[in-house]
Amino acid sequence: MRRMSRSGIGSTAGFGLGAFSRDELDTIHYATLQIFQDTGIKVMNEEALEIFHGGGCDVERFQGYGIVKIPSYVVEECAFWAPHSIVYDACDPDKDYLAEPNRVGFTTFGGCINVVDPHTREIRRATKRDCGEIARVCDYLDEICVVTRSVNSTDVPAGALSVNNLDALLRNTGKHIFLGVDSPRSLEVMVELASAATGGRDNFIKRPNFTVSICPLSPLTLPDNSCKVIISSARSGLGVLVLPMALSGGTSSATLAGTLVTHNTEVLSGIILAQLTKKGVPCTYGSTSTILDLRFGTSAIGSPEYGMINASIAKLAQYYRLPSYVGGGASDSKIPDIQSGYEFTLSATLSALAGANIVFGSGVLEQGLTIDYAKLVMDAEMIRMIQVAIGGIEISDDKLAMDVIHEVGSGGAYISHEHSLRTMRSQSRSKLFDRRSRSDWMDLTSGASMRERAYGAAIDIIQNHQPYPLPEGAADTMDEIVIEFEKELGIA
Amino acid sequence: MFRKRKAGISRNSGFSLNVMTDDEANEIHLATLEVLKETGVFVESEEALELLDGGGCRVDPKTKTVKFPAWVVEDAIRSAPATFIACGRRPEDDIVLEDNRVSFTNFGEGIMFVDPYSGEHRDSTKADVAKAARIIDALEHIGTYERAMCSHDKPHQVQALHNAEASLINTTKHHWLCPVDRYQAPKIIDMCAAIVGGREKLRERPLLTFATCPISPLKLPQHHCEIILEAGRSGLGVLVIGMALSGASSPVHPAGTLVIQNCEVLSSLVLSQLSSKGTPFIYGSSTCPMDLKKATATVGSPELAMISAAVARLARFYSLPCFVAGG
Repeated sequence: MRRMSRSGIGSTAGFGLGAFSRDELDTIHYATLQIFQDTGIKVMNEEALEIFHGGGCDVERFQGYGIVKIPSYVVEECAFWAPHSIVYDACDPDKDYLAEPNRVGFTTFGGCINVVDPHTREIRRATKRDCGEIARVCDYLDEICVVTRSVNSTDVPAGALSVNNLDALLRNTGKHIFLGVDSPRSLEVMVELASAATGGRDNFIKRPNFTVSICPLSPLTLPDNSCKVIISSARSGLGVLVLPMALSGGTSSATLAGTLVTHNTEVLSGIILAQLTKKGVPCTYGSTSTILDLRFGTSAIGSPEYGMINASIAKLAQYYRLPSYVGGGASDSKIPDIQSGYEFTLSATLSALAGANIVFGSGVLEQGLTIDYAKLVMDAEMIRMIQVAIGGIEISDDKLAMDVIHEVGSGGAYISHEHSLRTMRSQSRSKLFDRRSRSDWMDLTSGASMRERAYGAAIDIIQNHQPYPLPEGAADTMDEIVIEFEKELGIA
Repeated sequence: MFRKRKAGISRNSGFSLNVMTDDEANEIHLATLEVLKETGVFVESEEALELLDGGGCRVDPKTKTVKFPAWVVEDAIRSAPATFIACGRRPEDDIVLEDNRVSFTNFGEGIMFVDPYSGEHRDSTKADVAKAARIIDALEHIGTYERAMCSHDKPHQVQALHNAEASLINTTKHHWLCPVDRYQAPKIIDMCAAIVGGREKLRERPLLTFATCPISPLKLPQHHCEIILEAGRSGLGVLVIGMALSGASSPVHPAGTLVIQNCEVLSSLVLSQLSSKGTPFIYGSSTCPMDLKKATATVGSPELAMISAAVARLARFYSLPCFVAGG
């Protein structure tokens, strides 16, 4: 039978989340413009106040801070100036990550302070070594598209934290890196480090392999250090991720719609400062907002609201045509257990279906305090499943396989048909998730739980994976840079 | 500040999944009509064959293959109700099933059981069925009841009766039960009639819907036809659950699997509407892939979730209530 092509029928290129109508997104946008014009934002840095003033904003000065009121044309122009599609460059060019609307990738949660030791299972403060080893696991996992500073190197002196974090990350991954910065001076040193790791300053400026993440303070505040870091990053041409953590019911409205408005205002205020400092600097629209659980006084990142807020933020970022970096997959559980699996799946799936460019939350437990290797490896498996699901079901002549259906008819077998053999690789495949029969599972694993197998897999990666190599001599240069800097701070 | 009402802005009343466009649903519909008309479906029951013959289908009595003209299928889709009230024993247990209203039920049926006291993995018994029913009765967010396990300790020929008894006594929620064959079906109906006060009362507020499964690919076996006919005669709804295994009894790609399953469900729908026009019909799916490397049915795979979502979308396309696997 001949089946000629059909003229343009509407099709979905995957499963997606229907969250808001255009009218609803407009409503959030107009509410945001109103906050900017009437209430304004609090800016705690003099240079930033001058930049805002020069850009056409009203600035009213008080002791130690200013209130900046931003006219709507400034907001809209700045959101427009930021690039609409970003490539997050990587040391290893094969690992560059293209963030266009609806391309979905994943990474870990950032800024944790504890780690569950994969050998002893003891929960302890994370060290610089952990920072590097987690990055190495992320470097290995194809499901992780960029590398976030998952844990802080809590064993190094406070002022040298971000420099040491970057040092550990650069040695362990060839992927693009997201991390916070202590100060403008730290940023200079970090640029030196990254230049050494990418084969010189020119290479680094052409293909910067890290993005600076900054957190505004909710509600509606740009603290001193955030301003400094935004300004110095923008001047060096480095991309900025603006990542507020509003707590609905604590630092933002207890209603989610109100939280979206102040969150949006906070992100845009950071982006406006970056654009007014240097037009066209890459900006990433971020979110790790959630609810404050008012019964326990904890930030509930395993709650459904976490998924709902972050999926909504991904939609808002698309509204502004900005790349997004939103939460999804985090957990409040204390151990990598069933709770953490359920919580990962709900919020990670929501954010992914919403088309977030980077969904971060893998590996994390305990309201964002602790990273666990088993959870990271198990989450990666689930990420693969989510990636299959968002791919959707293609309805086409090829996939409908009508000729095969007619041929097999009623009561025949597909399993022995050549078509099944030819297409079987399109099925999802599990590695850690066990799909065998109960008896095979017992024979092969003696009933070991997935968690135990996951710790084993993580240890194997840490011991055997070779990350993308640094240029010759770079490791020594980086050592010197870190030591010099610590001397400069008077802490070496 | 005055914040006056906005004139009609469009609004999403909740989060939803964009699964496929109407165009794509129509593609599946057309493909289904083509298979039903050209290749047809095997129907085992003589009574069903006669009914289908009278209803406008082309029946080959030798091969028992039935070919369905498009109008027969589309008439049946139109005559089945879009809203189904799954009645419980008490009115407060009623659940309305229609476009986009979401409720949950348990999996059915497990044949093995992890004993909560000993941790042992063993065959389930009638006592287990009863206990599970009682737990489901207590769980607020489980809207209706499906039999979770079966009574392995009872003789095979009367197992469905024991299952029904253990269930009906222990929960007032609406029941989805498979009566297994034509002998047990009327007796289960009698049990329900005894609870609600007669067969007529049961017709008004049926606390039971028959669940039954075709066999993939494209077969309506004897008992399946009989259950559909019995439901029509007694004024009960019927839930037809497609159970294809993509890669084994249907194509590997979900698109082709959806077509196979749609053919099985819609041909069952035709039979149900011919036996009694307007009989409530629920579009069901428990289809999942066969993992072709491990040779197991993978109900934990993303494909199961995707197929179920697509079936829910197709059921909406047909304005039929649906019942799909998930979880």
